[in-house]
Amino acid sequence: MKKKRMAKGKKKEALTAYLMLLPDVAGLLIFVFIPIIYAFFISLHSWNGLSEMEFIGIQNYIKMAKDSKFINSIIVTVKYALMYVPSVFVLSLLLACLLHALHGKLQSFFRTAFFLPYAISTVIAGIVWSFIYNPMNGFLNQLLALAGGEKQRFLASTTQALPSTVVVGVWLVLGYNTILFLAAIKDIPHNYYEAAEIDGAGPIQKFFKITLPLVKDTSVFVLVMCAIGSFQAFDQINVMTAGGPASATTTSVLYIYDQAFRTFEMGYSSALAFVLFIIIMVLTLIQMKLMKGKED
Amino acid sequence: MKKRLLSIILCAAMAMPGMAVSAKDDKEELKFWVFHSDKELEFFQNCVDQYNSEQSNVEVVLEQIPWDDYNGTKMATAFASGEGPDVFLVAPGLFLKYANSDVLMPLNDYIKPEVLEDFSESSIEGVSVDDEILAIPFEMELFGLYYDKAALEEASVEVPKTWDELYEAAKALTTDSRYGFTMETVKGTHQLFEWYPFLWQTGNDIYNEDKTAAALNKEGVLNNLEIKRKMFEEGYANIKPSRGNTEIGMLCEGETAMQINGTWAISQMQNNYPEMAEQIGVAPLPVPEGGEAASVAGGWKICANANSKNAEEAAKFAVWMFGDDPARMEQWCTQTKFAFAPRQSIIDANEEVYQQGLCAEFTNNILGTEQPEKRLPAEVSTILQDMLQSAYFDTSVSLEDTVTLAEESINDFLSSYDGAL
Repeated sequence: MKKKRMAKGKKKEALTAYLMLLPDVAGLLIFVFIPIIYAFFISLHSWNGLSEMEFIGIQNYIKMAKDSKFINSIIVTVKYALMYVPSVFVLSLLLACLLHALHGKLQSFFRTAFFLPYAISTVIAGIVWSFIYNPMNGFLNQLLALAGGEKQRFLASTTQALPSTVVVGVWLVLGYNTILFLAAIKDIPHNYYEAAEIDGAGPIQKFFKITLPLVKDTSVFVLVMCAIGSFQAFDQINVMTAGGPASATTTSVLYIYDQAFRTFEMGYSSALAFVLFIIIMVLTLIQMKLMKGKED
Repeated sequence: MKKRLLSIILCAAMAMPGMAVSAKDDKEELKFWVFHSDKELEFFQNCVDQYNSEQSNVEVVLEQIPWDDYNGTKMATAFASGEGPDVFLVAPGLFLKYANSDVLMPLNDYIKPEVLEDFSESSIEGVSVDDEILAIPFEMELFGLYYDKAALEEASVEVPKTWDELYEAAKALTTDSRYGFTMETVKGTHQLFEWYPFLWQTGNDIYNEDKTAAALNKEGVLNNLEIKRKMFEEGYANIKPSRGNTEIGMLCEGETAMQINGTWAISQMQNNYPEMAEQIGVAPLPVPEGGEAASVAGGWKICANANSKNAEEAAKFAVWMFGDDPARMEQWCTQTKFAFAPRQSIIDANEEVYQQGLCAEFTNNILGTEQPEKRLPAEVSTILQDMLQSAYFDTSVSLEDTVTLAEESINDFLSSYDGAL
């Protein structure tokens, strides 16, 4: 009798849980999964958004394999990711350690200051940084001139444009990731450090032997989110360079946007978007597996 | 009793607007999308109000869409989801996309023959496919070389007439805080639009005569690309303009001493920089040694959505706007902004306007050298945009290789393309 009542109670609990989850699941289904499936469906068609869709099987995927511009956009994206992900990870962890060493109002002040760019719209940030990078009268070149350096072209140079956009990307999310690391560091019991100090450990040893291993979960989260973010970088790059000069900053997302809204190849751009989705998913799984493997 | 009376009055008052709306609701609604603002938006609104008061079949609703969305996501997604506007504006760069998808309503039956005769032949040719008129041109924008008279005088530089002179002038006019010359640097249809005159000055065109293959790999074309690459590389041309090159502000605010810009810049100057009226001059675009003067006539066209449930009414409105009484086109081209009208009667009747200040330079020295802006399939347009980007900025690839790659890509596209060109 008691068992029955418990089972009934559990059932009720489960039902409540499912009901609570329903809005979220419904949202994911409508706004994420159905569009992904629909994008795959469109990717099997030739469609310019105006006329009727024409089923062409995997033609768009065959075209993609031969599309040197898409391959170039993947290379640009990988370069962007290789500069962006380590920079965000290292700098935000470093800043979190520095902030942790501060106390009281000083810590609050710097925490807010570092977090501020995260609250700025990426489009606004792109516009502001375009002024800062201006080759003729930009703030950075004024500083360089004061220091006796030569003027740089930044966003107008095929070699400097991509690193320049990375700087803006890093600047935007640095504060947010710093706060994540700071929260993780604060969770580490202080007596671990005290014990290490008694054993004669220095600051570097304490960082590598205590801090870094104990913020591992946050590290995984930051690395995964940054990797995804780098593959999805669009707004600030579109505002600052529109993919130029000469495709030097045309990342995959920018190329997909170009194909969809400038060349009006909706079918082909859906195929590109679907492949990018698979790439991001595989990369994330690999990353999570590697981190989990190390933990085990 | 008083309370009751008050409630009745209040209820009646509240119902009034509803009644007004329901009267309006009897009419079918036509969505008319534009991207303009300020004085230009006001012009369209006045026209719409006039049309709504003159007939009782439909209610035209004017909607302003921001420029970027108009040419990008908003328009594309609206059509893709079957929610496109009933009446909209199209630029030559996108004309074929709509025409090849049967989105444009043929307007032949709605335009009177005597009105059609008033339009220049090339302007109607630019909006026709297989003898069907699919849009109505209502402005002709020409390009010229705008320059700062004081800057040229200070550097003892004459207004450049040839490409070589343009290079030398840009070099002489470049200072620590000002570029000698500014043109469009961002990849897009505008960059291509600006390049057409320079292509035509060399006597070449994008395709061969029967439009079966690209015909770009010519000495003149390579020379033009080389001189521009050199100006960007050496820092005499503005490598990162502070805004799009449709803005004359860059010249008026001293960012550059010379700038390629269109006829629209005249009204921009009148509205935003009236104090610069005497200081800015305009001249025909420089030509290659021994080349012929050329400009390009761009400009928007009005069209009706053939898939609209009120396609006929949409066509009637589009024709009423710019394909019937010349008054609206005249007001648009001579008062709201400055542009050449594609209708001869308007040019003839407004000699005074076309002979004022900088307009006179366009009328006397540039008008007549223009060709209509190319209407290209989006794929060819993209190939050419990539070619210009690579030619101007990617010095690691030779110009010959850049142009050859573009030619091959166009030929590859043409081999399987069966739409209009």
